[in-house]
Amino acid sequence: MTRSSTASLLLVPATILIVAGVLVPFAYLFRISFNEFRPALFMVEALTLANYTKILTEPYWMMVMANTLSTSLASTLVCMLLAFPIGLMLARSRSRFKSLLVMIIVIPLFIGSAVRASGWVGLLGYGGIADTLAKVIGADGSLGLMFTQFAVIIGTASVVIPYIALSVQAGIEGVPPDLESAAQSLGATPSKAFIQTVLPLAAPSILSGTVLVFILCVNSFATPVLLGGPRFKMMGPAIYDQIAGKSNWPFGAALCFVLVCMTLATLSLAFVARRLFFRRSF
Amino acid sequence: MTTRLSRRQALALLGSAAGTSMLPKSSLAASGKVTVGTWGGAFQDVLTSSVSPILAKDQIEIVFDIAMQGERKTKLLAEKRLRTGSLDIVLLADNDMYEMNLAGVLAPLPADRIPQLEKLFPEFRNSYSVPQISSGLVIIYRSDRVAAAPKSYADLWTSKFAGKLGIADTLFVQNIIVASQVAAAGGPIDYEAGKKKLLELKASGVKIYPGVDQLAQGMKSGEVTTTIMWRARAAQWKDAGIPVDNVGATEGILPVTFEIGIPANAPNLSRSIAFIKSALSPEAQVAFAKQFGYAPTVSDSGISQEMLDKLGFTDQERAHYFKPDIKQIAELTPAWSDWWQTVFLA
Repeated sequence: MTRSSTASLLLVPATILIVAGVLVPFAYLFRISFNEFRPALFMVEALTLANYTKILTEPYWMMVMANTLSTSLASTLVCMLLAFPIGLMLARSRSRFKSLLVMIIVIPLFIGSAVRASGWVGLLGYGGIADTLAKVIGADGSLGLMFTQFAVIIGTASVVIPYIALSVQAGIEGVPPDLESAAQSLGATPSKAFIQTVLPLAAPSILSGTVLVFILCVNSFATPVLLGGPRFKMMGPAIYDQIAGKSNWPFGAALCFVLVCMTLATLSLAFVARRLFFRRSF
Repeated sequence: MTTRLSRRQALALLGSAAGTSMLPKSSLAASGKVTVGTWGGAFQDVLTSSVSPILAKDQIEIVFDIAMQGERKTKLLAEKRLRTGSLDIVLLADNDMYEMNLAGVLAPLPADRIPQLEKLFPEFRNSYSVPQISSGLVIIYRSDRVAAAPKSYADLWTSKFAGKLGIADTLFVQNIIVASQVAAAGGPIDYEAGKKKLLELKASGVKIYPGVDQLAQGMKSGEVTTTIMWRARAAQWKDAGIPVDNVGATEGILPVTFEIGIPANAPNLSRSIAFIKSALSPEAQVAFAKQFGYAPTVSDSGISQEMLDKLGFTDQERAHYFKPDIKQIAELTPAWSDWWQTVFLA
């Protein structure tokens, strides 16, 4: 048996698992999304586009999609602003405690997002730390941060920071230090050398991390539920509401596929951006 | 390979076989786990402290399947086609239980095997579920922050309560009914008018909390000073140190029972029955009254008159019970749920 055929055989268990555990249920869910929902009968076999039409035409569902996209974009941006310096510091660090620093970045991932959201409740809730600080500097009454999009953006960004920090670190570490030195020896200032030499070469890795984080934000559940409250709705909690709360599986399934399409569209955009702007690194 | 049994081992095996055969049939059938679909939090705590020890005597252990009522209903519906479901018992509020009975997912009550059903107050009895605890919808307010106590739901629509009224998302059905009572102003009930009335409340800045526990937190912190809630919660919150008082609105009190149902495909009927018997026992009824503020549903609860007066309703209040058409409510609930989410919360 050749080495390549042995490697192919090793892929069989994972392939079976993915087909049986993901693709088959996915296909079933896709079929369900064309069914009808009648409250007394639960789900009725049909072939209708009504669920998709509802999502794409009713203002409420357009708003839910807009909430999901805007919150995810804002969270990713906030995350990038906060995580980039951390990743850069890690990449450039020659400290013997570097491994410890990496561990400190990773440790929050061991804590569930629901637990972390509870921490934000204490911080952003009525009479919480944010309100207390605001009072100290003379604010009148509560800031009203809880159950807002702002709370969800901050909460979500805090969950995903490690992913971007680590991808920035990996990207920058992958660039040979000699290139930056060469740029500087040719007259570039340190910042110009970094921006024009290191950053473009590290960009594909950073972009991958950014896409991963955006996808995590788009699909987030616990944070929007706990920090967004009943009035701020994103796709993840909306799907759960439809399937588990309202028993409306067809509509919930259609929402799932719209969310999948949103995610795939983002991936495609990232792929195109990579091809257009970072072709040299392939 | 052969296995040799000693004389003593053989006698021990025979003895235990004989002993097992002499055990009452019911105890053999009942021992094991009973899966209960219920609310978490304080409700689960009271079940754990009161019903679990009683069932433990029969070697029955409660396995809690925690979810909000919507999720529990979905589970019952989703498992309807299965020969054996995952729940032995489901706990739901009266309107939800009625809806589940209409959906045909509940077993008829084996009344002949539950003698305590005869002790149920007549107004609570039905053929498909066992009312376990009761209360009614009232106005709860912070006695230290609300100068003039509201008397009616209509008072909550005045500017005096703007921005200081909180309601629970989970009680959307009850919130629509209350708004309809206000809109009706004593006349015939019109739920469409109630929805419009509710939108006025939204415009005046009503705060909406995901659930009752978050609302309790809002009342405690003073973010809101007034709410529409079960009277039981007033007693519970007061015990937790929140200075609240409550009043039955002049428009009429919406009574509620929280009920126990047996799914039609429950895995083990004997354990389901054992759970119901334990939940109706004086120990459990007293625990739910003391720890959770709910009034009993049976006449032999053993709860003191003083506590009954505190948690229950006076004759005058009972005379003003507002009892909507439960069938109509069950039919309207799915549409209300959509309206609540896409219009009121949007």
